[in-house]
Amino acid sequence: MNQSQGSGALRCLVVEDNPGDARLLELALDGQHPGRFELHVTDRIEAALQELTFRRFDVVLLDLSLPDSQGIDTVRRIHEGAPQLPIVVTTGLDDEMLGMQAVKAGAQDYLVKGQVEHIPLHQTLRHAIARKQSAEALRESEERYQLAMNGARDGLWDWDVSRDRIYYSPRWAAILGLAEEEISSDPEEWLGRIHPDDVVRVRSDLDEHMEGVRDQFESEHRLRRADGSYAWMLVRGVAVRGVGGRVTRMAGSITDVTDRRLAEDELLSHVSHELRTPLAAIHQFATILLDEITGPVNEEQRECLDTIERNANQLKAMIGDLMEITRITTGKLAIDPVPFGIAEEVANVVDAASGNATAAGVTLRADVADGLPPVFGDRARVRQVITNLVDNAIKFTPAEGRIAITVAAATDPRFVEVSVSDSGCGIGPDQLQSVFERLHQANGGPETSRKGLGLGLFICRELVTRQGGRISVESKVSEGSTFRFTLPVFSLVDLLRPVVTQTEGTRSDVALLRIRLEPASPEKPLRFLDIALEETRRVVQRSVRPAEDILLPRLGPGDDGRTLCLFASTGACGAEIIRARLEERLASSQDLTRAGARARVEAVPLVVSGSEDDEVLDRLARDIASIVTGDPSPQKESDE
Amino acid sequence: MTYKILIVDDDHDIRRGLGLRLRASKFETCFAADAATAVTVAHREEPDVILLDIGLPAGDGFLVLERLKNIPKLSAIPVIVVSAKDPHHVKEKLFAAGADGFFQKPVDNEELLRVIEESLARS
Repeated sequence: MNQSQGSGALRCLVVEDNPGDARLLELALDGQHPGRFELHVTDRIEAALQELTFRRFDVVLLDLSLPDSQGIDTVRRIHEGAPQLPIVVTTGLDDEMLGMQAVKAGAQDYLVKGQVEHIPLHQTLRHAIARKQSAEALRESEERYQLAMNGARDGLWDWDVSRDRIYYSPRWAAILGLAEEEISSDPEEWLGRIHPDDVVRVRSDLDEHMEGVRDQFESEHRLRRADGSYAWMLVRGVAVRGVGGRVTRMAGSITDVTDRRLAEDELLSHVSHELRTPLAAIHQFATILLDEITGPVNEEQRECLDTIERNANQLKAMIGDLMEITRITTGKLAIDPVPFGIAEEVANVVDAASGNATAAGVTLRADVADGLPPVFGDRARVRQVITNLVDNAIKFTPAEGRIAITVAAATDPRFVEVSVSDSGCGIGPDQLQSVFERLHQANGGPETSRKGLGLGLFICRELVTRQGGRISVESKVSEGSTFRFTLPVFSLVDLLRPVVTQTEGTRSDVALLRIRLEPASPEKPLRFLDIALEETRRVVQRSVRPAEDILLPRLGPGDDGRTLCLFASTGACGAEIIRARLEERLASSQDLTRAGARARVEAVPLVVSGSEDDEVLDRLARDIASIVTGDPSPQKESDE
Repeated sequence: MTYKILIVDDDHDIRRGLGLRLRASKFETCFAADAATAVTVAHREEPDVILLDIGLPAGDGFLVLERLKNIPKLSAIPVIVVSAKDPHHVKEKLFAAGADGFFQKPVDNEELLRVIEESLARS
């Protein structure tokens, strides 16, 4: 490709068996640009290939019909012989088509014989050389990229967001035990492999990066391998933004971190286990003294013992946090969403925290908007989040400060927002981004000498995102902070919609299957009800057909916690068959038998009526709610 | 009548603390510090309830449970597990092995006493 040095003329190999044509080319080039080209003519392809091995040329002018080679094949042979040499093909007047085919086969350009005198040949050749050079450069850089990709321990992915396609590197596939040809460029190849418990979290992390809330996308989640097992992956990426900040492309890496995760989890689990025994002893003996089992204690002694117990409880909470982290990272964090009133939980938290608030000299009040819809989440987990935020607020607010909990409808009507504001020391902008990170520790205010483990807000974030909400913070140094989180509003209608509303119209063949746990024998109580329920849920979940059935959450206080409800489309086989099949499956579960439980399944037919989807769904939702919660309000009421 | 409770734990302080606590609630107590002794003491004392730790020398809580459930004279004694282990990891295995309850250390004493009373009422 190097241009011949010295003379500065371009060395041009002319392969042309017609001496007239060869002469014409020579004349044209020489006439137009005397001294700029050094021509070398040969009339056979074999001779040309030989020339190419002995001498260096800058470009080949190639006739496609030679005595020893015809057509496109001629281009291919020269291209093979000297892959880096630019080729300009000469064709007959009536054969532009062939010229274009030659370009496809690797030539840079073509000339039509008989016209060579009228065009700037010099330019054509120069362009051919330049074009070849840039093509070579591109190929080289692609090769380098390919090498980097193949060699790296990490897999790479490159998401063309506007076309919704992802390029996955061979290493990406290999990490998951897949062969390169087994993967498509469908984003589902990745997203569809995410462990069900991690989906919400990954989605929200992705959204937060795409919306610009976070500088980088970084997420540890489990992906399903080819053999069906799950592996922990660290997936990192950065978005490329186009006009208006819209994300057009996103690319990043994937690393298998399963071993590291397992080692971490094992360590955490071991440490918290070992800490619990001495803690149990401290707690036991402090309370033995406090309860005056060993004799009366005076006021001062009681205060001392109270202090011991309070600190033991703090330690217990920290160990609890450590375990919670293990659960989060091993995916064992159980979220059991039910519809519930958020106001009640806020009141509970205020009740429980008021002692601490008073002791710290801060006022704590709650302002809950009227008429909020029920939210859909895990009651205990939501209480845990609010408690954590309030405890934090108390910790960072000096005496005479204020803490306010506000609950109101979020801007998006599908959510309710809870916020906890304090008049504390605030968080600097440099720290604001990282408060929700694992092991983040606040630079405590003047009142706080204890930092804690730096796990509380990380746990809050996990709990909120796992329930389909978002958590965020705003803060001004020395003015205070406001933490907000959202929870989805419960809507049975939205839950039922995908099954009932089908493309071909409203579905009417639906039934409610009520699965009730009973003691296997009447004298024995149900031991380990929670385990029996979990097993029942597992069995039922396995028979759920996507877009056909929905395992309903517990719907409220009327629900006794021993019943699971499946909303099912009955199809051609009818409700009774589905009922019997489900009951049979549950009867063969050994775990249920061991727990001393038996599951009875009852099919409750549902009437589908109404002209519009929304009307149908509303009625269905009302009927189901009344059946499930045992609310006596009759079904007819919906015919008003 | 006074009920007798066997406390199985390899930690001396835990045994002593639980012992003090239970005697204050008018229970009689006896102790074992390892898996093998636990079965021997259960044979000898025939307790009404057993509080059982999982991590034990000379076997473990599961082994003790298995042995107890295979001895007709002892198989009906309610066994309540008191362990530092995360219930998520062991609860299913424990109930499969025949345990009647699970408490994670540190224990809420009131709750423990309630479950002991319940087990006694049942057996």
